[in-house]
Amino acid sequence: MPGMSEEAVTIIGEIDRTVHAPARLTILSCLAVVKVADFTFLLNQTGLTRGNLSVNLGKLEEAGYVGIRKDFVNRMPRTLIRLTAKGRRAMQAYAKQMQQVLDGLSG
Amino acid sequence: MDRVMSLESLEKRAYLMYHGDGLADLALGMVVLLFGLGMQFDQTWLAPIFAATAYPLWLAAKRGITEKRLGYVEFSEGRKAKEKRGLIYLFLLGSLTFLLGVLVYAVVVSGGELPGILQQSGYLMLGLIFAVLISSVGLLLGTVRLHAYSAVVILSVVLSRLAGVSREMGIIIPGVIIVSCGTIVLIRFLMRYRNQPSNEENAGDE
Repeated sequence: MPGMSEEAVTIIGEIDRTVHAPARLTILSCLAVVKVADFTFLLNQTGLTRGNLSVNLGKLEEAGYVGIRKDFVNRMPRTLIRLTAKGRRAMQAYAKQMQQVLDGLSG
Repeated sequence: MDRVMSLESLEKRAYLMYHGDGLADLALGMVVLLFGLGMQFDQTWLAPIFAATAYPLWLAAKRGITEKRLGYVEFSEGRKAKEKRGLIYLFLLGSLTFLLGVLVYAVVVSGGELPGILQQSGYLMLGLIFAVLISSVGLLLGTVRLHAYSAVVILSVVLSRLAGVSREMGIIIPGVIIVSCGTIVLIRFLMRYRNQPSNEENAGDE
């Protein structure tokens, strides 16, 4: 890639693909600003479909970036989701890496 | 820095969305309206009773209407602390207003004479108290619309005095305006966000 530093190319290769996907980045960003939210709240905030949100939450949970807990309110099931410390660190690392890549592209 | 600001705006957007249901408008509008109607028909006990039950009613409506559509959310500790401080301030303001009202009532019932400033500008002061109350809730919820309501209340009590219209109408009219606006906001909210069948989804199972 002409104009791109070698370091930037290396960083691109190291970018966390779990965070990089737009849907998952949106979910993580929404969770980063609240303490805990349920599935419906994330559905409204992200604009994703139920299926898409469910699949991506599964991947984030698998990576340990979100914690999913199920409880009942008035006998109605509720899925509560929160960002884990690992997820927050992954987001911060991702932001730092992307900044480095952008700096590499412009310089 | 940009990232932090972006997350802040995201949090603000989520918070405004959560409180964009018009329920606060309706609660505040009802307090103002009932106060005005109570004064008009000598049923002044109506407003304090509604004001005392407004917060639990608002919470119940929030659970029954907003949460069923927007979902459940717990905002950050910082936001919660700000809300708590705001509620304490509103409680103190409400208690002070109530005590002042009781004092005025006791003086009137006992046949005593109210201080000159209360006789001449009592309704203006009442309008000012309502305006401060509404604006405080506006600051707490970050809703600009509520500040406009405060301006309407002040404008209404001043104009009713200048125009020589019944002083009670100066309170009733803004009450009707706030309740009407709240109803419109609520209807728009209900049309935009449909009732979710269930909060449950097989999150993480797929």
